[in-house]
Amino acid sequence: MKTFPWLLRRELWEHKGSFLWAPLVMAAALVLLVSLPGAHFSVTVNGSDAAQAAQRAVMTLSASFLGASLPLFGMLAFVSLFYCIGALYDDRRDRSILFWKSLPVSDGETVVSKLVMVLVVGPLLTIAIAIATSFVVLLIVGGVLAAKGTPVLGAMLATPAPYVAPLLLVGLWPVYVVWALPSVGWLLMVSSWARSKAFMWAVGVPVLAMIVVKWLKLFIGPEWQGDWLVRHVFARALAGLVPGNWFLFNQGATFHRALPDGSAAPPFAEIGNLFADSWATLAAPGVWVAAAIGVAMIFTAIRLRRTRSEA
Amino acid sequence: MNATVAARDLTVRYGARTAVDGVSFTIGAGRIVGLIGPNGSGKTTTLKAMLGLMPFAGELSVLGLDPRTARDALMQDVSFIADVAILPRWLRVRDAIAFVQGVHPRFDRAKAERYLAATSLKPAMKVKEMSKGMIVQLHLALVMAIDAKLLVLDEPTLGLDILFRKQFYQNLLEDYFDEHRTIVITTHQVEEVEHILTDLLFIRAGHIALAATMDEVAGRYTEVMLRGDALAAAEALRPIDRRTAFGHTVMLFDGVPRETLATLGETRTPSVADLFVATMKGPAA
Repeated sequence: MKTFPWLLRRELWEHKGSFLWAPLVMAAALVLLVSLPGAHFSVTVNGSDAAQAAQRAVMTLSASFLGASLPLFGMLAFVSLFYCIGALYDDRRDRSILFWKSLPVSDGETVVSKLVMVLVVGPLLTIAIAIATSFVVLLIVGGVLAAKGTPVLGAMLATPAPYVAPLLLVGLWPVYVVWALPSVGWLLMVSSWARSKAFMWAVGVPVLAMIVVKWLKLFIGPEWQGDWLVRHVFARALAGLVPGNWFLFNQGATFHRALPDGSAAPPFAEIGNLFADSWATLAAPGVWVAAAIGVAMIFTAIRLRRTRSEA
Repeated sequence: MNATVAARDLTVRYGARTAVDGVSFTIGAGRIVGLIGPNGSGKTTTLKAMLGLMPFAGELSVLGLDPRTARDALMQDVSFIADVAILPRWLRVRDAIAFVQGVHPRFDRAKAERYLAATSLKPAMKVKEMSKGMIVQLHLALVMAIDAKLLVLDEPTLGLDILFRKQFYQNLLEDYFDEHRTIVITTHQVEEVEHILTDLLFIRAGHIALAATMDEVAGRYTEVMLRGDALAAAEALRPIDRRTAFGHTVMLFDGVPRETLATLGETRTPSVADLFVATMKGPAA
């Protein structure tokens, strides 16, 4: 039986609004914002002549044109948080779980379909929409610049940036999966466990814990190692869903914004560094411990799903 | 005997409350069993235990499998509506059919579509646009199109009008049921199902109050509309229930030969509803 594709289809039927339409609407809004006649991008021409100005514009655009789609990734985090909390809770609350459970679908398959939705379908859809949006924005900006006498598009399409940068973005997806596992595990476990107020448990417990730890620090003093707990335990219960969270948690690898030698930078240095630095965070053992705990929580969610048929 | 469902000392607890208290019963293949009890008697809980939806103590085997550990295999051969039909609000009729067809090897799409053709449901309709009765119609169409060995229906016709209810039970009997299948039904509208039942299982406060086939019921229980002068003689035979109808006293007897009772008045086999009321009022079995 090809059960699994049907389970994914079911998730898409239910959540098409948040995983497909919402980013598309936001992408359309971003494009609209850029194309509004009132939207002026001030290009400060530092160079002595127009050719140098154009070259700088090409460099800036190449390095950052994907940044136009940044809000989409913020939205992904938001959508994924609510998706996970509701994933194994909503159907218990409205008791439609009894219908799903009347079909020959195992609890493991059900939970894995939710997992694939939030770790594969959601991020890849957002990445695809983000890349498309970035190109549309790039065309608009290029058009405006050309109208102002600084043609950049032709020069930019001759650099590797427009072709390599999207690939690097897709290449960040596995890093996202590993870092997201603890959060997804925690949220799915709570979603499977809570008899009521799933959101309060899922978000309230880590947030309250962080407050308590900070509060204890006031009493115990600076020798209290609470910050470690906040950073490596409680914050990871939620923050893993935010793309780029790895720069927050991994102290060693920070994002190299400045170019090492300050000279002739490759045109897409920023995205290149982002890619390399992101993968470098996976070298630390902590991230794998956290991911393993995430997987254990997912197994717990499956076990709980077996006997909880009502919220 | 190769039982479809066999329970021994089945016990289900919700925290401190014992909902089902050490019941034992057997349901054979090819039977239509009415599981009948008042609200809170443990009937839905018993069904949920059978379907592997909740943990229990004691022994319970369904189609030879333990519902606690073999739920996934069990659901290949069992279909159910547990605790009133509920479908997710976002589901469309056509998606519901496609999904069940996709995941269930024994689903007959043509059959489901035939049932739906008799309703006002349209393929693009979402559950949230449906009336309560329409949701039940959709759920029943899906479940009835599954070729299952055991069909469990908990209040299947709640919210349906009388025409559809009659039609449903007729379909169930003529189109669905055969000697290889077993159907377990709970309902409050006992009169509507009693003509299709082959077995009765009364449950009261977590205990089985009566387990009998309809034939046994007919042989064992007799209702007599007494002649005016037979009251004392009838009293001596220890009726289990009495009521008054049209100025006559009607008594219900358990295990008294019908020939004896015929001398007291007009005898007949009691309705399941009357038997149920008498059993629930009487001392615990």
